[in-house]
Amino acid sequence: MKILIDYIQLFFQEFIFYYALAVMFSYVIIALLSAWEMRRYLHKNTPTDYRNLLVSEFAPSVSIIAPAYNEEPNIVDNVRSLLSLHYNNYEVVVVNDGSKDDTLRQLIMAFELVKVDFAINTRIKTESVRGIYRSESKALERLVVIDKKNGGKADALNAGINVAKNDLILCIDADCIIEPDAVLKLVKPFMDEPVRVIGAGGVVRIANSCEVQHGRLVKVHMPDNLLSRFQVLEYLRGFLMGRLAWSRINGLLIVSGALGLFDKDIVIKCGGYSTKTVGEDMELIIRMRKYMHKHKLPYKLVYTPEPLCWTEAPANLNVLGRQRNRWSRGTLESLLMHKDILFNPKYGTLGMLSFPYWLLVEWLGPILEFIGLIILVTLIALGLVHWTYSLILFAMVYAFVLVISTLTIIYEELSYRQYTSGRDLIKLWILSFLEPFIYHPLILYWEIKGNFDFLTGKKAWGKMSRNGFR
Amino acid sequence: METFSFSATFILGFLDELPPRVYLASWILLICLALFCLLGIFLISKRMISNYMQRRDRYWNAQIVEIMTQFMVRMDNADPADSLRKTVHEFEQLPFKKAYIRQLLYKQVINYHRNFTGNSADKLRDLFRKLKLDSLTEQKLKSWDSSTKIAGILEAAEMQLENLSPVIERLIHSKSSEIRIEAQTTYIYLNKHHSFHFLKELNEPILEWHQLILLNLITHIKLKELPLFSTWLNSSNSSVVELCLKLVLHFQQFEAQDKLIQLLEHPDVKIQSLSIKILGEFEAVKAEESLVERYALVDDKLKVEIIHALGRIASGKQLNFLLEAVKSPVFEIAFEATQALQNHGEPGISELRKAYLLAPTITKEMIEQVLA
Repeated sequence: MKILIDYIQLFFQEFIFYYALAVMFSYVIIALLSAWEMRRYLHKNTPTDYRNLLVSEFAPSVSIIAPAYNEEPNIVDNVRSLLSLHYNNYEVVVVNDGSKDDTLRQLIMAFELVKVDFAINTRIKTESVRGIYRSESKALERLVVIDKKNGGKADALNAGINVAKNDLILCIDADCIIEPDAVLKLVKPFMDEPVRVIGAGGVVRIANSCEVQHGRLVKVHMPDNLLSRFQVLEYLRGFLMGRLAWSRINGLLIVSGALGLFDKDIVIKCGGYSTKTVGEDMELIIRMRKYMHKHKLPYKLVYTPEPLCWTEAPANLNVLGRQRNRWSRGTLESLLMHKDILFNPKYGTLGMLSFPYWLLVEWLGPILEFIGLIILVTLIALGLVHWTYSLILFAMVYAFVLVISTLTIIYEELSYRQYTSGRDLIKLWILSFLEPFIYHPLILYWEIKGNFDFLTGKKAWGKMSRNGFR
Repeated sequence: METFSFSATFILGFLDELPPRVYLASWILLICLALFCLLGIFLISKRMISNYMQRRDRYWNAQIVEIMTQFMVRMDNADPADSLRKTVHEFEQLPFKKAYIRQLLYKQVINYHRNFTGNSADKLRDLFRKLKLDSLTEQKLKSWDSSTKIAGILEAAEMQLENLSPVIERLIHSKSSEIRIEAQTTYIYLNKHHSFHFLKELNEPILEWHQLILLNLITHIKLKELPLFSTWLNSSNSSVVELCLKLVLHFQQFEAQDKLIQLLEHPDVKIQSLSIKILGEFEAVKAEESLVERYALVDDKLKVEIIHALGRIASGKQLNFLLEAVKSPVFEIAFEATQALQNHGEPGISELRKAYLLAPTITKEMIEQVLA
């Protein structure tokens, strides 16, 4: 027993300590890279006057695909908002994924839809399509509604891709609020990069407590709910720091399912979204990148640090827990499905950096943290903990987290500064002090549970209820 | 000082007694704490300074706006020269030598100009020059910082500072693509005569985004003389050819048809595709043979373009060719051919009806959709 405890202590002291240092070092690199990329982006895009270009007839055509499942209360407002985006050449493809409520009927009534003859080019296999609807009104000719048998979000997106007529597809969540100029800002990288851009994403922000009118966000507020507030900080860190840094070195492994513009040709050649995982957005990106490497085609995946999409974050523990559980399972599924990439030099940055980072930091991190906590509790119970040393180690991690969170808030302050009230800024900063004690343990628990559920074969998406925007 | 020295000695003494890992962790902790304090101070002071500047700008902007409003009102009622003199005098009463007030005024006049057209915009430009604000634009154009330079170029365009055109011309070939595009755009905007001659010398690629900006500008300003864009279709710079093709299409320069037929064999697929599209839009009957000849040599995407063009031309001579294409196993080709036949009117529709009887299900669906 004594030997076992000695070994555990050694493992805890040596491996976990150096692992933590390595993770902290990776965060420092990420912070530096994202600062560099942010500066480059602002430098490149600030002078751009989008106003004249938004309605330009020369801009490329885009198909917006919005899957909808049981969205009856908001679907009409959401589609109206999509139809009034500031862009000239686009169509909106709404996919009713076998909703059990009146989603389809609401759409038919609001937009005077009629069932039309439509030859579908089924390049990606999906559940059967029951009908295609178009509006009788000439003003709504850019709207197409697909009614299909329920097959999940990935299947609905694939059905939308089959019907989409344009070369660029913007896949979104029907319940998100898209900024009016988001399409042009996402299209820009496809036009101003010297290599082929296969996908572009933008920053997703939390819309809880923000003022929304007719499907448009009119005023940004810090959420009233504490849980949602923590998510604001978390999203800022994830988008302004993490994804931006990976975009800098063309190592992005995920474009948010809430808003992503893709090259349809490559998506189709890769077989579309996978219905075998709950992390379909991440899995598609990995597959698209693999395809480009396999065919030796130079490419880029781009992230725009501008807030282009607003989403309602889960405001209660149950829903948030289900969401994070699903995200964990999705990550693990995607990583396992493409394990051949790991440290495979054939895949360049993807194989040698991004994929190992996701596996060793994003996935393994919470597991080691959990194991570390169990060991710590055990050692405390056995009276083997040196309190001074432990407190120093704990304080080091805590201080580092504070630095990273403060840096994220500074990035936000120096770039798009969405929270204009000084009070909101202070609230956000105070959250960074509380986060490691309140929010982080919850996330850790759900991530561990997600991994456990994966091992026990749980596949369900998990019911996501929303309160709606105010 | 003594207290600080004592604390430092105590901390260092404490650290020296720690095991190596904890020693390292302690140093990281101290660095993080110091960094955290610095970042916190930066964050708070940044917000405080920004709030102070906002308040200060609000105060001076209110005064500037008041004078500007009076200027706009006076302009309609009083003698324009007198109104201008009075306004300049009023602005000179402000602490005009302070750089930030001059900057605020500069921004406000440009902002007003952006929101007015016609006579009002002309008067605002006069005011801008009379206040010698154009010297600020010139300074910006000479700045080493590329963002400032770009801002200067855009402001020169907004205020139509034609006198700065030679400075901007020098930036047309800048190494920075952002400066280059803004300089090209502004140069075209400021020089309504012979403003496209730089296309001949352009070796740098014009990225699609830049093309979009140029197209948007060229098609929206009133050029004194519209050049024949086919002049540059022989350029060795593919992006110049691409831009000119789009302009040929927009300005319907039918004279370019022969050159377009030659471009069907251009090594750049994008240019081939655009040429096919334009020939279709021009309903160029004389291009039909060349298009059909190219069909066998190109990929599926271009095949679809060719069929689309034949559908636009709809001379009736290619019905059999299109009927064959309807049978293609490639959905896009078959669907485009169905639409092309429908574009031919009665002869095409009657062929489609005949084909319908023997067609497989998917082709039947296509014909139903097209004829619906």
